[in-house]
Amino acid sequence: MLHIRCEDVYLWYQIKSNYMNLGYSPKDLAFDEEAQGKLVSGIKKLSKAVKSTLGPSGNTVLIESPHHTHGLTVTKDGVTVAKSIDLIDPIENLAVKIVKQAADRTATEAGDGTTTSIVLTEALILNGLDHLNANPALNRTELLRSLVEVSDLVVDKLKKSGKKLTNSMLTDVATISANNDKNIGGIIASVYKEVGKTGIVTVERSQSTETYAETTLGLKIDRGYLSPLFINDQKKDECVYEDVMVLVADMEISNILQLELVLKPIIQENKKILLIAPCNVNVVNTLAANVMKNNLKIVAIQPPSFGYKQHELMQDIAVSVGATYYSEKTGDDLSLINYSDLGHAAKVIVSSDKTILIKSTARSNQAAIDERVAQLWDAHAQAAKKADKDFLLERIASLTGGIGVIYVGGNTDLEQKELYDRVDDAVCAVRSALEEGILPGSGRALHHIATQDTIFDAIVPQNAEKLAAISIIKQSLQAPLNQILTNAGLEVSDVYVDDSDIGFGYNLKTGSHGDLIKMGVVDPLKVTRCALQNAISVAVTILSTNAIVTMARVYEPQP
Amino acid sequence: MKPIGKYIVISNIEEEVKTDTGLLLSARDADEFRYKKAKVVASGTDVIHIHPGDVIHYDKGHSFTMVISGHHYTIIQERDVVIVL
Repeated sequence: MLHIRCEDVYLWYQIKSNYMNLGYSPKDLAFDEEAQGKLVSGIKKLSKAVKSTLGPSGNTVLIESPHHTHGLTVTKDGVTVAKSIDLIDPIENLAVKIVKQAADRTATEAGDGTTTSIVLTEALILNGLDHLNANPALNRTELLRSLVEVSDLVVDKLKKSGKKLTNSMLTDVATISANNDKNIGGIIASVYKEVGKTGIVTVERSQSTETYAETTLGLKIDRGYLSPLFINDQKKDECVYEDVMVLVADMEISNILQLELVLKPIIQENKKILLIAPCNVNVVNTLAANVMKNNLKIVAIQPPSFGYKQHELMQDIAVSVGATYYSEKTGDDLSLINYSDLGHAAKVIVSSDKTILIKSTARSNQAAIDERVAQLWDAHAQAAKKADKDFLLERIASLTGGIGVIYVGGNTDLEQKELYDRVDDAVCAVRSALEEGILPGSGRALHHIATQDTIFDAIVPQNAEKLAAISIIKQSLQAPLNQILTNAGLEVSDVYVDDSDIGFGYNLKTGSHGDLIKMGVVDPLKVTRCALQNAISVAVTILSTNAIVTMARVYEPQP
Repeated sequence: MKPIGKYIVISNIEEEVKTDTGLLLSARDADEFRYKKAKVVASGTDVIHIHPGDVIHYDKGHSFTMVISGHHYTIIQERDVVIVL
């Protein structure tokens, strides 16, 4: 039994400070069985907490955490559980950190699969140690190399068995990833249907208790009009113009006469213009006065965001409307701007806190837009942080012209946070499924490879290390399916008797056997693949560890 | 009322300023110009070219205001006048 004693909470640790005067901090060393035993016990603890959430019958986990609202979180999301865990023993904690990193990478790459990744890691390590202990003659280095080799075969096989996602399956993928919430699955699927498969869906917190989705086919800027006098649709408090010229600049317009060259054709030909530029109060007043008294059709908004993000977003806007971007950073002089530097939009809708531009092809260059989108996808593939990835996705969406936002509501902060995590996961899972396709879910794809597939015959020569590696992988690939059944209180032998076909499996929700993909029990290929690859990487690291150096510390009861 | 020497008494003309392109400038924009428009009320004893009733542009930086029997007037010197319209 693993459980944390409650007095641990009141313990605090201190690096042995009396040694500090010496100019170095003393270390604790651990080797061989002792080191690995601690690493394994750390992973076991983490895994035990996380894996109970796996599958449709997964349990909720309650976390006390100062980082969350009201100091606690209720979740069914593996990442959240994993992130909350830090252990008191330094070596156990190192193990937890490594596994968390791998899980986090899976979540960042594929948006889901943290729990699967942790379950696989634990299984690989435990099975690996079993083999090493049972057969001391095994060459450890050779075994680890074989592990990687065998896992590559499995990844290839997974890629080959991936099926393309159809519209009806989209709902299933979303539903499963939202921990079987049909309502959420439906919302996500409908948003993706609206924005199209290249469109982008983001998740935000709702101000109300409702969970709903909004889609925008166009470019959205999180800035509203600079003066309410620009409003021309009093009912909706919006300023709406069609066939509009767009000025894009990031330097402050301090004098209206700077814009004379641009405004001249606008005024004389009675056109409309949207200014995306910081304006000083006086310029805003002058513009508003012209709108009110002089019947000009002008609306001004601030540039979106701040700092480098602002620069990037403004470039995106300029490219998509076909404007020349006047920037302080590149030493442009705003008084040189003229009519041909403006972009064009089919329609703009400016409200108090956001602006939507519906693009036109009048001035924009589709090739330039496509090139920029391609660059952003490259950057997206390289970005390591989730926040960076999300920012890039938003930008891609605004350029390609379809963005859906799901607003997650809840009766309490707690409920909202829990739901938000699940919706966010589900959206990522759908994106992954659209990218690489889907596999039979419920851990079945890996389980089938382990129990039925003949790919392992391709490994030659079949020496002791290779055989051990195959056996470790085979045993470990069954772990996710076993865990899902265990969470539902079942045994593999209860439900899988004849299991020769990969698509054939047991549907936990309905309690029936059949074609898993048809029944909507599916996993995105990318999620399964990333979970496996990251698990292998961690397992190999931990299995090859023989010495561990930690900071020496003493634990004392808090005074 | 007779100003002495080179002094001129004028009264400011407040009007909406529109540029050639048709852009309406606010009072503050107009205020940013150094020279303002005014009508001459009375000219000093040594002033030759400027007569009461003329509309002029003058340098507002060198102007001072005063109140004579309830009316606001601006006082400038002849050399502050730049244009007689």
